Amino acid sequence: MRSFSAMCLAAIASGLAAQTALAHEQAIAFSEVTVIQDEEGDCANAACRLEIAHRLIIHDAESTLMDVLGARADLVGDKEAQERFEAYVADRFAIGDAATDTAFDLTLLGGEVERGHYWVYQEAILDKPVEALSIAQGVLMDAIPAQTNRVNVKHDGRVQTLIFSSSPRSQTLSLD
Amino acid sequence: MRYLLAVLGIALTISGASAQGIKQTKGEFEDKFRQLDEVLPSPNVYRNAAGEPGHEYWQQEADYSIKVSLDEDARRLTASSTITYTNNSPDTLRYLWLQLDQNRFREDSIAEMTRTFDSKIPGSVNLRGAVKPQITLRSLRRMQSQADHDYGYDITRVADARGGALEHTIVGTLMRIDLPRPLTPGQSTRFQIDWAYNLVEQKAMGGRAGYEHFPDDEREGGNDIFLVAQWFPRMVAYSDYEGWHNKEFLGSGEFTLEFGDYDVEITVPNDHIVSSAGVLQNDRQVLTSTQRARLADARDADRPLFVVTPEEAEANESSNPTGMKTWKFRAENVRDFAWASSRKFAWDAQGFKQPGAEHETVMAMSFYPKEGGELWQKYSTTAVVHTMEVYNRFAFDYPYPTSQSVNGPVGGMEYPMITFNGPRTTLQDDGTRTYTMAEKRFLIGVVIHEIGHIYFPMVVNSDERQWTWMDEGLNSFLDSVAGYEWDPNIPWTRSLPRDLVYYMVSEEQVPIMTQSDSVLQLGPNAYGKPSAALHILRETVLGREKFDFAFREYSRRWKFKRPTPSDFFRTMEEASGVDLDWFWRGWFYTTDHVDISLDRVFQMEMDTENPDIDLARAREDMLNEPAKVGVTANESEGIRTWVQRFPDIRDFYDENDIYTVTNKERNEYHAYLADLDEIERQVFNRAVDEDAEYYALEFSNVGGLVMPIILGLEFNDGTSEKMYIPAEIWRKNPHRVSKLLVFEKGKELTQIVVDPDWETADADLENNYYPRRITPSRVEAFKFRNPYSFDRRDIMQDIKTELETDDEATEDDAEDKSGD
Repeated sequence: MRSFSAMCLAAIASGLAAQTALAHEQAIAFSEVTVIQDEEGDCANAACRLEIAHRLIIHDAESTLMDVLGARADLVGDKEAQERFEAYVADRFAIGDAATDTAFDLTLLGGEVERGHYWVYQEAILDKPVEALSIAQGVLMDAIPAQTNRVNVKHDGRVQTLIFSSSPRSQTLSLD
Repeated sequence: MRYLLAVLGIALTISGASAQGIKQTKGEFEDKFRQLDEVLPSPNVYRNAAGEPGHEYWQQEADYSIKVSLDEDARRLTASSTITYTNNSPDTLRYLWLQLDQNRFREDSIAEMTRTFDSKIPGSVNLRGAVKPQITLRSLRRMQSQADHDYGYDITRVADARGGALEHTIVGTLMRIDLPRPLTPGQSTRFQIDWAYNLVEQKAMGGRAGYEHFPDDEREGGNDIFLVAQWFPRMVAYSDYEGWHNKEFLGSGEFTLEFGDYDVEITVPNDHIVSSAGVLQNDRQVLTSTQRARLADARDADRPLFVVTPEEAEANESSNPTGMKTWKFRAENVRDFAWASSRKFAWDAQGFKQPGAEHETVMAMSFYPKEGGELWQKYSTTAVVHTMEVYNRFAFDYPYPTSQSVNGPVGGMEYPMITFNGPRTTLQDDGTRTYTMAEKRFLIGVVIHEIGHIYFPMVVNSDERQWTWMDEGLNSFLDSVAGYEWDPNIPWTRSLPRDLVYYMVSEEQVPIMTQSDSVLQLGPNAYGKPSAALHILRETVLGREKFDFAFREYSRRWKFKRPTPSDFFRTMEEASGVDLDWFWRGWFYTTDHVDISLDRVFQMEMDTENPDIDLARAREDMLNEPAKVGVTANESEGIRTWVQRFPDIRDFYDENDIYTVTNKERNEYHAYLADLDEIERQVFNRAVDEDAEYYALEFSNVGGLVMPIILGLEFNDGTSEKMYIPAEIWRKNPHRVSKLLVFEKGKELTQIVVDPDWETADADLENNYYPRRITPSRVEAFKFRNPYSFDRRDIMQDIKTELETDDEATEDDAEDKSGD
């Protein structure tokens, strides 16, 4: 019970704003991680890198902006809202080498509107090839009940999938 | 050779199955066209092999007479009902089951006890998982709400028609009533139930109904909107294919119910406005003469008119009731009954005309508080009307007298004649109310979707708890058709083939044909993917004419009846006349995705067999080859060859190359022509005369789902054409196929694109092109378009920039302009 109250106290910090979320979110985000690396382990001559594209539903994203960031929520027309949201998405996603559990430095490239979706792009340059990835994807989980995030990792013509449901706790995936 | 082929043929036939105990155990062949009959339930007298209700189709009937009273302060309903249940089945029933959906909110329900921990990590995520999971405020609010209230039904009386107590047993969200005498086929029984329950606060407890509190309204204590659904003990469906549908309500899989007539008397504070399923029976007692006159005007209006204006509704927010008022509604042939009540409601209405229908005028109506604002005034009732216009074309005339959209705490939920829809405006600091593009899309989209549900599953009565896609998938397909007919420039998502690629390529999925409580992601699985499949079926596989006829036939056959997936699959095939088992198998029974790759293209030329032509062509081909690198180098170094240095060594073969034609070949050619019979000669001569362009295309099926191959062809004369190769091309080899294309002489292909219009959800565009086109990744494309958006920014310099105030910015603008 003691640990329960400690958790409560920590949780209070985020305020009650989340309760005003407009319902009918689709509660789904997709991320695609593309692993581009030389099989021979040569990252000096051929760039080894990760491309990351997150696809979010604009309506879900706008609810989050209002609830979590307290920001004006017009992702289609408001450049500042877009930048805040992109930073938020980048903050809720981590990817690294599973062997060492160290996160890669990701460059936030930016984002754009595509129909009802908002895309956010990141990339990482790797200094050596990676054999297994560790990924945590918690985007929108702090705002939308039952948010489920699906991460597809594309490598060598193959797709592997991780699903983050209710918890962004990191999961690992082997590229073999 | 013929013998070998015959043996192979048998081997394929015997082993080419994979489903239902019949297994391919050798080789990689997979019969993607195997007929579904061994998967589908056997046809019978209740539902036949054509997908129609059988000649002895039956369904039960449940009629309700209910009196209910709302205690606004306690947020509690107290009610009594008389249920008349008619057993049209051939079975004798010794007990009846009822649904007690409110019991889902009891602390000891399966739904509550199996709720998983919805933790949150405030702020950044990391890979080490060192941050303790925390309880969300949402979870806390829910726990507190549950601790403070007794949720679930208080069933206070279960009695027969004469008032004698009936044995009954409550099992979670279900209740069994033991009948004193068995109910034989064709008999009816009547019984009474009294109950009460506390309405849940929807924003705290979730669910498809409940109250929402508005503490900031001027009235002391604020106001509430009450959305009331799953509020009475409802007869569990009893069907030919499942018997009693008594599966515990876990909160995800929705409902299927019995049709019947309802007389419902709703008693609420006398300053409330009530929206309800059915038709108001006592308007003189509950509406003012002004309201009645406005309602009458709205019947023939071509745009919505107010029955209660927003100004009247806002004034009403400060009102206090002086008593109670009873609103009486009657609803015929409905499978459920829901209503809403609040003093906050504005009310607009417009008569929708459908000449020749059972209800020639349908009252399209919306009820919303000031929080709905202009968004609701503009779009709600209009979207209701638009939905009926579109769905009537695809299904049948709207079969009820009213069609309503009510704003409250529920995001989107459907009931017969009435829907609950959530999107609202946002109050800005300056007192205005605004909404984003996304909110507008959501309101129009959700109203279309929920009103669409009145057709599927409220009238075409499929079982959502078992097969969510049967109503959500069909309805998402139709709502997207209606959305694009409203305005194709609104950024609709989720329902077209191209929206589903990301989901379909991923690994962790379940087939569409999965019971709804077990579906991993209901959105893409039960809404998006079946919708995409139906778009493909309509636009690409069958074409609109065949699809629309078959879909309308399905709707007609199962209107006010209870279809299963096999009835849909069979009807679509029977009515369109097209074997679609491969389509249902691929899209509904597997998790394959679409990725067809154009691997190679060969250009070919017809041999004339005439040595004077063919050998000359062969010589030309040889001469067109690039010169040998070493020989060229020798020449440039001035090395003279032996034959150049000693010409006397030359002989016959220096004058006659290997392509030289002799009479020996000419005689063989004439002998060949003489050997052809008349038909062969005609074919040969015509082919030689036409001298067409031949191309052999090789395709592989990377994704696994067999689909038609759609080709966009471009030619050297600047023309283009689209070619459609039916999916059956994959029937003998689902992995690799080749196709010969023939064009008239001189019409050479310059480009081939598989699925040029993105109509099949093909996942990988890069392998669709010949010649190959390097398709940049999304990230690469974005970087190319936005080269200055990140690493070229001089942040060290930019960070020194001082923040401008609004005044300074305006001055700068003014200076800039004056300089022009």
